[in-house]
Amino acid sequence: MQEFVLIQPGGTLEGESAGEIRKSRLHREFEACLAECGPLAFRVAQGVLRNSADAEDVAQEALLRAYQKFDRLQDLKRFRAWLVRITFRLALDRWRSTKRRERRETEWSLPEQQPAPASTEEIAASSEFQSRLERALEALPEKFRLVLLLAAIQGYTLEEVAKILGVPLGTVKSRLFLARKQLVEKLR
Amino acid sequence: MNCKQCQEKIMESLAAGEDVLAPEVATHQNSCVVCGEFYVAQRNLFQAVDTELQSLVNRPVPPALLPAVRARLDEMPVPRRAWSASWSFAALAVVAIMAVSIGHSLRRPGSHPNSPKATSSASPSVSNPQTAVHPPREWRNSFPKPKVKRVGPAVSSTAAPEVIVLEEERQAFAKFVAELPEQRGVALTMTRPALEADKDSLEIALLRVESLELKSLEGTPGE
Repeated sequence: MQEFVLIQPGGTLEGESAGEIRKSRLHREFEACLAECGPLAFRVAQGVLRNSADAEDVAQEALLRAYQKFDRLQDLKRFRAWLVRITFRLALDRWRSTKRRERRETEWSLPEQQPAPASTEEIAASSEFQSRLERALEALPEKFRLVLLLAAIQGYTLEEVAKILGVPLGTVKSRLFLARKQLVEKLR
Repeated sequence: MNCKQCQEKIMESLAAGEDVLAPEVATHQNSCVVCGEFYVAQRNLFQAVDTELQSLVNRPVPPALLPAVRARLDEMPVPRRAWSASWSFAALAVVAIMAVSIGHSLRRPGSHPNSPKATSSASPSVSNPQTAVHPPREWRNSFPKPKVKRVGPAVSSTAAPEVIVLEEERQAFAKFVAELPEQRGVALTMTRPALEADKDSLEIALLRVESLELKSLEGTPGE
């Protein structure tokens, strides 16, 4: 017996389920957000982890998590702020687990030789400056750290940082001021 | 302004990202060698920090990042809609509430028609204080007491006939009994059981129709 399938113009085949249609729509919307905010996720992760490979992993994970709950996001304008928070949290978790692993591995090694205190100019000029800055950054409170990282990303003004964090501009300026002050005091 | 105050102001100005110092701070810093050196050192330190931070976060994005994410997106299942999750939770909650309420109603002793409470509530002389009716003593004595055969509790609850008395009827009966002392004669007449002699005097007679004429069905001449 021959079967006939009625195909309406502009319609969909019966075999194409609603789930597939929804998936394609979600893909389209998420693709736009991905192209816009993917690099930002990597940069936030890079600012925390200071390792490109780890930052790439964390950025991927953050983007996939954002996709899994993309339907719950009612306002697409808030996607960037949402993604930054997810990425920052994941990066901090990764950084902490890395630190724990390093501590376990160096537990049996010889204690580090503490360098003699140096002047400010010497610190800035020395090769150890980067590691000192990293330690100073790690000692900062998380909210100061995030503001500092976001403000350092090219193309992001303090107004945009305030939008991303969902706080007033004055709060961003205050946090940035305190973060820079504390950072330099730790480096002196 | 002393040196300590000046250095504090210098630090605050540099931390705030201001390019120009306040006039009184600039005056002191120009006249004081120590504060001048402090300013230059701190400015270099802030610049080094800013440069390092910018180079850290503005490294080029790996070109494989977005394609890798896209490839993993295709393998992932469609995320569930938020509303469907919430509605499924609501449906589960409704089912749970219904199950609990049905179970509760089945376990209630008065809800089952064969239960002892339901049987006893059918009679006006029940233990319910609001609907229980107690007629006057002399009126109760005027009727012959029914012979009650006492049986076990298990038998009495099931063997007793079930009479469902509506709430309105129960209230009306209670009102009727309450008004008995005023019209006692009428009440006794209405509620008195019929005697055997009265039953025997009844006669059932056949109905007779005398002026009835029967004709056979015949057609008229015109038909």
